Amino acid sequence: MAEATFRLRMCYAKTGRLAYLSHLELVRALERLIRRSGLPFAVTQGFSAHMRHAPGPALPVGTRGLGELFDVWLTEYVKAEPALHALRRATVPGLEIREVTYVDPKAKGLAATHVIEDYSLEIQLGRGAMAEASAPEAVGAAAEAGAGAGAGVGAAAEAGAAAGVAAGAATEPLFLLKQGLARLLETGEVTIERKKGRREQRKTYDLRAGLVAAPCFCASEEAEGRYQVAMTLRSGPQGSIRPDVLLRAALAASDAPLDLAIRSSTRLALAEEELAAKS
Amino acid sequence: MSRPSLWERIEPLLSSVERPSRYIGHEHNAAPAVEDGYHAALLYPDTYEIGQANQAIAVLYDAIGRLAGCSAERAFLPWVDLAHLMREQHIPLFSLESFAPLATFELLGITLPHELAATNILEALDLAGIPLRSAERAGLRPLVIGGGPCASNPEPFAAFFDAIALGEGEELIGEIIAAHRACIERDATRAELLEALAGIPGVYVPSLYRFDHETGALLPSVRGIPRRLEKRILADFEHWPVITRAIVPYAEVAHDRFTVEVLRGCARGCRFCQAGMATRPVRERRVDTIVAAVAEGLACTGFDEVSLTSLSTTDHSGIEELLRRLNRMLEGSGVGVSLPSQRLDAFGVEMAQLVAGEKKAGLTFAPEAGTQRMRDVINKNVSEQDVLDALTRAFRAGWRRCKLYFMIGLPGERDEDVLGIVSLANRAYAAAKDAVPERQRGNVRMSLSVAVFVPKAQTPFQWCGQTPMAELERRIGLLRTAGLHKGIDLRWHDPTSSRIEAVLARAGREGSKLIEAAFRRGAHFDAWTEIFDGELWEDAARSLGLSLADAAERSFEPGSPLPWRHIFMGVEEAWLLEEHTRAMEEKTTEDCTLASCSDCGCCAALGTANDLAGERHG
Ligand code: SF4
Ligand code: SF4
Repeated sequence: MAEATFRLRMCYAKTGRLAYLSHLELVRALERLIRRSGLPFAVTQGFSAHMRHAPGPALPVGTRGLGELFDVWLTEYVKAEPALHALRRATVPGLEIREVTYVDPKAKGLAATHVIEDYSLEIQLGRGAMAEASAPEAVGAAAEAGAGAGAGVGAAAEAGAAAGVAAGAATEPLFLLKQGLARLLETGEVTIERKKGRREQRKTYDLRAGLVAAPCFCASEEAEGRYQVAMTLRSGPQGSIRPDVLLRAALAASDAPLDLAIRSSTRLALAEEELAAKS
Repeated sequence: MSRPSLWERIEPLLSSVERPSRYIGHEHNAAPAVEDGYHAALLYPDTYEIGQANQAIAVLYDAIGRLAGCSAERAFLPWVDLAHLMREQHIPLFSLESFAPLATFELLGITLPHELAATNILEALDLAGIPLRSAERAGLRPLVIGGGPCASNPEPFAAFFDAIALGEGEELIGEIIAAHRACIERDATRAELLEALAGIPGVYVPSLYRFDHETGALLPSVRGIPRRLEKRILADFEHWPVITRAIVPYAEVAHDRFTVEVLRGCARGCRFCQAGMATRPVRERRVDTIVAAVAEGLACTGFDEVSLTSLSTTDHSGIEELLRRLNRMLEGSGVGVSLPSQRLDAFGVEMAQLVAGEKKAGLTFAPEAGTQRMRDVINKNVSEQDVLDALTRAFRAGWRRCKLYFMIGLPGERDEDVLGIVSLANRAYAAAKDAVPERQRGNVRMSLSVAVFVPKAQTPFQWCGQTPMAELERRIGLLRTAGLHKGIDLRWHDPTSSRIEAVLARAGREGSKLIEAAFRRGAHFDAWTEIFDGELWEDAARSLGLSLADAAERSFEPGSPLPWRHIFMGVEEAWLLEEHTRAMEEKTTEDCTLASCSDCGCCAALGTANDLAGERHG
């Protein structure tokens, strides 16, 4: 069998309905489109032969990706231009192949390299009864930080109820969210507990390494409490924190009974070394 | 009729439901809907994962897409989380191509895959906002048509359908649509539409047949429609285009691969098997046709696995040549070939070996009965030696796992037959271990699955009642205590749901009331063990003064009018009765693709014959 000597890096956008694909589903869709494209992809040897590829960091379900990465190994060199055309002909709406480049076949895998992820989200923030319901995803350091600040949920709720009278900046939902975020950043890490079936999973993320640019908020004119949020994360071999999870953790750390709904989420991912090369 | 898209209303719900990708549609090769024209929706009454790869839906989708001015769209049942949200927000059931409400289609075709899907059919109609009963619907559309395996006894479904299609739909669907369009064009009445449909061979319009108390039969209530309804078959299966532009799902689904139907029908004649009886005669696609279809299909789908499907793929006369050619063609591409199940002899294993390569996942064998006597009763023409030879060969070749399928509660079953399952399994296990090098014996895995026999219409066992529940439980107890080797993993089917299958498989029109009553009590997804609740059915039956036990266990007198007597699925009642007698005499009947014709009546009545690509390997 021919050697797998050429490593083609595809940069693609995943938008529209395809935002709802899970990481595994997306990988399968990419594999199938590469097969349809007719490119001479390499196949692994052994027990269960499959296409040799390396996907970039997982994109959370529901998130659009504008610059996502996927490496596939080829057995023959195909010029970038015709390769791009072949992939574009074979693709599906919502999966746009933006560019292809060849990278060093011996470079570390995409999952092992650091990838810079630019996120932009649209959120809806409000006071509400759902604060409790959204809490279970995020506690740990966040909750401790909250306890340290001495504000119980009950007290905060009262403060919220009183907000109508003493309308001050200190009770603005955005202010409270930012306050929670500041507490998280102070501790430098966030611990997420998640229920997987019956098992509880705990994972601690290092925010000093994982958060390149802290969330910044821009009020939207469309509705009260709606914001565009931008943040830059860095994913590494241990994975990365999801932006919605980070915001919810901040919410929990704020100790205020707030509601947070993610209306949309978009990401642009780039391998760090490329970023360095480009600048 | 203008067809709004519901996507804008569904999308906001997707972030709060499990596995949203099953609701997004727009998969590669999904066909866009025609703008103006005839819109048909094809619904599989279960989730996307279960139904997307269904071949009946795929075949009709393709066939409708070939008709001028027509398009087909798919629909599935949403899982309970989304169904709940849809009801809360008054969003009706939609298609996956244009997200149009099902009620806005000209035609709604629903597959009848098995008895336990009955309440899901009502769930789908209810979610779609379409009246459950045909009699409650008005106008010309949507025309609600059923078809599929359960059409062998359509009576329990009769009330819910405007018409039921019998047999294979490739050609029939075009005729139904043409008649429907003509009625729409001339603004016919609903009664005229139903009569027009009833005039098409293979179309059963239940509302035009009435129960005749004198003869106990269902008779036409209008002139000019047939007394006996004969199924349709695609006689020239070989020349009907193979579906190569198959839909490529995003979500992970059952049978997520490219599929070629290599042959249709099975004439082995197992006496419990409705599929084998109702799909005669046997028609094989030629090896060249199949190889070309695989090449084209893989190129335009990108799947990495191809499945050669049928009821008995390794019976194909050209199977060996086919597998060798596919192996050559697919070498180095990472594409695997799969066979749905294994023929129980050395040849079957040899064929499995041809496609397995390095990856020897597991083999599936279905001896069905534990003693030779019982296998003769059910006409499963395999001997214990065949089973042991096949296993020895498989484990020598490198397989380490296998599943054995059996049934209990078969007509005439004795305790020795039940115990025979255990002793056959033990001998099979020993043979498997013997065939494996000593240090690898610890890796040998065998599981034993035992299902409960369900008597089905249009089979030689259609007259037999199901074994009573308490007795089934006793026999399961026998299985568990008969000294099965500890290394074998025993699983058995819950007799409660098999009982409901038995009731519906042989019910008359009263079955519709039972299904509706169970649905009203909340029964749905009955084939999902985690959701199934037998109490809902018991309660439904009580409310109607019925007993599920009596209905399942009742035996019909030979010659008495069976509820499905007006339906002809290819085998004559006289022949079935003969087979029934031979079963009780423990006499077997040969496969007509290997030996002589046993005169089941199919070829004569339908003016057709077996169409084989060559000589079969007996
Ligand atoms: S081999 Fe027997 S059980 Fe299998 S499809 Fe044929 S008749 Fe049915
Ligand atoms: S009529 Fe004869 S050849 Fe035709 S299916 Fe029946 S048994 Fe087979």
